Amino acid sequence: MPPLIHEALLIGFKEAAKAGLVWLVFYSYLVVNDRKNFVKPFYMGLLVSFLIVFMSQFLPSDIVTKENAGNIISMSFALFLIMSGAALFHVSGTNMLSISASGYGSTLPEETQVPSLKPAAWGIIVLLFTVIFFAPDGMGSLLQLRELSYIKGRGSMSYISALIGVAVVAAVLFTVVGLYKPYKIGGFFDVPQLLLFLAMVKLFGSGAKEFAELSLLPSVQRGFMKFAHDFVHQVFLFLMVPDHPLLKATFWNFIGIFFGPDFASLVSLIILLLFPFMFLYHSLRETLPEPETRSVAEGRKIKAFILSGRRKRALPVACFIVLILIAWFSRSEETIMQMYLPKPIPVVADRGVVMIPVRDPTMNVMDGSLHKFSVSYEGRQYRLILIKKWDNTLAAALDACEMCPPEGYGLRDDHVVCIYCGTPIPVNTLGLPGGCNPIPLAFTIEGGFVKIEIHDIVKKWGFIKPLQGKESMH
Amino acid sequence: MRSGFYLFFKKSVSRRKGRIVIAALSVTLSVAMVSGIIGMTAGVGAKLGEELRAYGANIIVSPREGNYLAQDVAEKVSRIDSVRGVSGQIFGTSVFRGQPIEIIGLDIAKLKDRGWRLQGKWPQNNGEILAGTDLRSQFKIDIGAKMHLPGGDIGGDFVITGFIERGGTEDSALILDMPDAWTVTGADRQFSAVLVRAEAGRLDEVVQQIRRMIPQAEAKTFRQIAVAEESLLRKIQLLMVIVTVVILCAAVISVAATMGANVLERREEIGLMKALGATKAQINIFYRAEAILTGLTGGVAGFISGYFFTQAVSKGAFGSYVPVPFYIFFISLLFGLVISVTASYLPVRNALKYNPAVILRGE
Amino acid sequence: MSFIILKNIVKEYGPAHALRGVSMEIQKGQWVNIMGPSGSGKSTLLNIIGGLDTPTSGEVFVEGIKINALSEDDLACFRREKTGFVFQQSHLVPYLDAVENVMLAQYFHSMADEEEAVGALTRVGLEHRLKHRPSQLSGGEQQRICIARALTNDPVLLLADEPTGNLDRENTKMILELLKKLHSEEHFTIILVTHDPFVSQWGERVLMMEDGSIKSDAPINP
Ligand SMILES: Nc1ncnc2c1ncn2[C@@H]1O[C@H](COP(=O)(O)OP(=O)(O)OP(=O)(O)O)[C@@H](O)[C@H]1O
Ligand SMILES: [Mg+2]
Repeated sequence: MPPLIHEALLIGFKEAAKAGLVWLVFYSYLVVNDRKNFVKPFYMGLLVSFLIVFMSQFLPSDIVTKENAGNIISMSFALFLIMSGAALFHVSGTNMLSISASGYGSTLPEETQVPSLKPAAWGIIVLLFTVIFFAPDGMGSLLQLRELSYIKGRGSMSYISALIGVAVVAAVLFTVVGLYKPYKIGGFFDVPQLLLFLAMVKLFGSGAKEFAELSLLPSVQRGFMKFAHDFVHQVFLFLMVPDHPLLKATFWNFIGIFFGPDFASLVSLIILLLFPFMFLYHSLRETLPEPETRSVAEGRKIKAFILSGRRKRALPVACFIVLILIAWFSRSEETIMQMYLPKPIPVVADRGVVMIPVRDPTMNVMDGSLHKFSVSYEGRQYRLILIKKWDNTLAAALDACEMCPPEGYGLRDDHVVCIYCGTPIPVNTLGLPGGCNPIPLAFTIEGGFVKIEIHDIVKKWGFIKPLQGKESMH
Repeated sequence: MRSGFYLFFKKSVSRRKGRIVIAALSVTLSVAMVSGIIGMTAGVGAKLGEELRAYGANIIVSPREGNYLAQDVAEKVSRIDSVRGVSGQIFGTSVFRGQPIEIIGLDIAKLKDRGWRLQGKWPQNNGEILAGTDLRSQFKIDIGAKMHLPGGDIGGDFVITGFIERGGTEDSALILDMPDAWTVTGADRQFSAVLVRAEAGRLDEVVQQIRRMIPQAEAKTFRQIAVAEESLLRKIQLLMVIVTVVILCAAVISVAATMGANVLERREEIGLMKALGATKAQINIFYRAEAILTGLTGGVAGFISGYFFTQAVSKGAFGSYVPVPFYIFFISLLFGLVISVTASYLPVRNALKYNPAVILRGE
Repeated sequence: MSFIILKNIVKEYGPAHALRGVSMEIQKGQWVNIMGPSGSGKSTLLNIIGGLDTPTSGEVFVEGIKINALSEDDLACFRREKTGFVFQQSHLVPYLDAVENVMLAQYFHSMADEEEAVGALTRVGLEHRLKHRPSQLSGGEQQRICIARALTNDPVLLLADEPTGNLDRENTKMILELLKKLHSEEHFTIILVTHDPFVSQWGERVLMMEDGSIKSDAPINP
């Protein structure tokens, strides 16, 4: 028997652990709240997810890609996160509003009524959410498994490995549940917390880009950073940057703060932690009702009961916050360190054309890594980069963009990253002009050489606004 | 946690400071020892790496034929993934006062923080060189001595700016910066050998890659150096683990004694709490919290004292301070917690077993 | 059905017999005084009724619940919800002040409430000693904190083991009047152990104990 494939084992393990955890929490919640009638829709949802995942394998392979699955996963994460916030507002709508209202002297709102849906409708919602939760992850994992079976050339072994992973988790889960019946954990959750929990499982348990990658966090981080950066970027473009030489340096330094990775990272962290903190606020700060009871001690008991329930449900949320913070900061440190910064290889312009061999004994520009070259022409230095895109075509660009000082780019995972502002740029978008993308260069490949006109380089390098005083930034 | 916990906990801590301080002190002592030792090992590891780097390399690339390597070899090797440092060297001989004298050409700038002992100054300009410390007595020369070295077409005149000592062959050689060495040896922009420092675990890989990339060169590892480096570190680590375990056990026992006394003193309180209707878990949590507080306090204090301990020892042993990695702070906290929580576990468990009616009779 | 039913309670400490087969019933809301020489088993009986101790044999029912069969945690729950204890030696937590000592009982019952605790201490006339620690208070004052603590959770059963043992006549009278007032308002059951004939005149019924068994059981005629 061929040996197990570890990645596949891990994938099976991970997916099963996710499903097991979600099942356990959801089932416990139903047990504690005596709503066992929703177990059936949940199982049905699981079944439907299975079918969808299975069917998806017969769809055209340019639709069912890992990128698409990753995008859907990211979206479903966002969905669960937002839903949890919405649910929280709904559940506590009155109370939260009344707090802010009393603070600003306006009148209290009418008691907001929970829309009373029929159990059947709720059942359908449970089923739908189950599918939304499980189907994308399953699809992605199956794709990854298929890829592994090609790469490793061991056919069905990758699927078998994954199944073994699933079996291990199932065995552990059944033993634990059978022995301890840990349904008490259901008391830690209410609908909003449950949705938040699902979002967190997604965040920490779904690799969007690579399924071997354990968590969604880096993608979320990159996504947020790009968003924050682009936003600031556009705002400043529209506000029009005064092109006065004196203003420029200080002004750009100022903008640099907003462009910087620290700022973008902070903003995105705040966005991510918004909902959990709202939960905490709701649980810990909201005023208690004054129960009317026979004796004071009894009233105290009811208050304590309400309070302990709230605190209980705040506990998982607090754990999420801690987890996010830890993951976030350990992650960002790692990513900054991991950036690959090749030294520029000097090349020469021969009769107006820069010729770079596609492959020689020391390098291969098509190896997927970032390649940097420097050209000296008429007494000035120019840098350019070459990199292979996912579609196996080459991209050539200046090692600089129009916006930032020309500090160049590094490579992190499959993003080219601006050293100055930290913006991640997907490799696939290289060759497109504008914004923070490296300025593309026209090139041809002839006789094993990449050929680039030196005049193109010189002309485009002229677009860059070189900065004075940028050193003060670092 | 129910409302009021914090109040009672705060009071029990603030009004029993002496007890807590004593318990925390015994935790501090043990954590200081453990974190000091870990800090030392980590520091020593880093130091050792530094010392070993003074050898220059763990792989040597030399020409297969002829005396010299082509000048692009160093450049090519440096592009390999796990290569951390590359330096080209040139070896040759010259004659001084009628005696043969060994010449080593290298990039002197790279030597500066390699832990070589230097008397005098680093060369700044062309024509300034370093001499091995043995040459000082051999030729009765001193800093500022002028030397004429024949070699190449014309040879050159040099000034000694300093003497270096490393306890190796370099001690009886002249160290020239690359351009000067090329002048003297006549090997224009070539190297006798390229010394490579690669990641310790991937030496073979790197050697294979160099052989593939540069067929005209031969690459070998400094096996002995690499092996020595690894085994020494491993021995130190083993020692650390043993000592840590021993200290940990001793610490748990001593802290348990302190905490045991504390708990015994509070037996009546435990009985009373039970009589008031507290469950074991509710009582337990007070003592757990106190143990955690003690552990954290002891952990922080232990880290700080361990830090100074490490620095004091390292100053004595290496003549310099070692960098203490920050993660040791968290290890210290963890140790503090583990020690005080385990140590308080048994006393509290025993105390909880007492029948409250018996304790409250107060005999 | 009676509020408290004891069936043939035996308590042995090694070879010694603290209780030799006690059987009796107490009605809800009754105030019962227990008297008897030292070592006759009064405290032991009280502890067993309050779920603080378990009998060697026999059965204890309170409100129809057989408390000698309860698990440890359920027993703790019974104690905090149903009973209030006043001990022979006033047991107070030394590092907590008067209010905090009362709040501790509230805490285990549900949650601490300072306002209520102050109220409870005011009822026993200690409003001027709220922030004093036990070591700064007289024996009588300590005992009054214990009474405030025992009553703060609205118990249905108050068990007092010589609550006035350390008090002068004046204070004893004050405490007893307080108890009488609360008893008539809230109708909780009182079982009170005492040596003092003055104290035993209060209440509705007197049990005389001797050598681990009940010697006489008589109502008090005012
Ligand atoms: N924990 C114990 N171990 C051994 N003997 C005990 C224990 N507790 C009580 N006894 C014995 O049981 C008997 C009854 O004790 P108990 O405390 O009930 O007496 P009491 O009537 O309350 O006396 P007093 O009026 O002095 O408080 C005594 O003889 C005592 O010695
Ligand atoms: Mg007694």
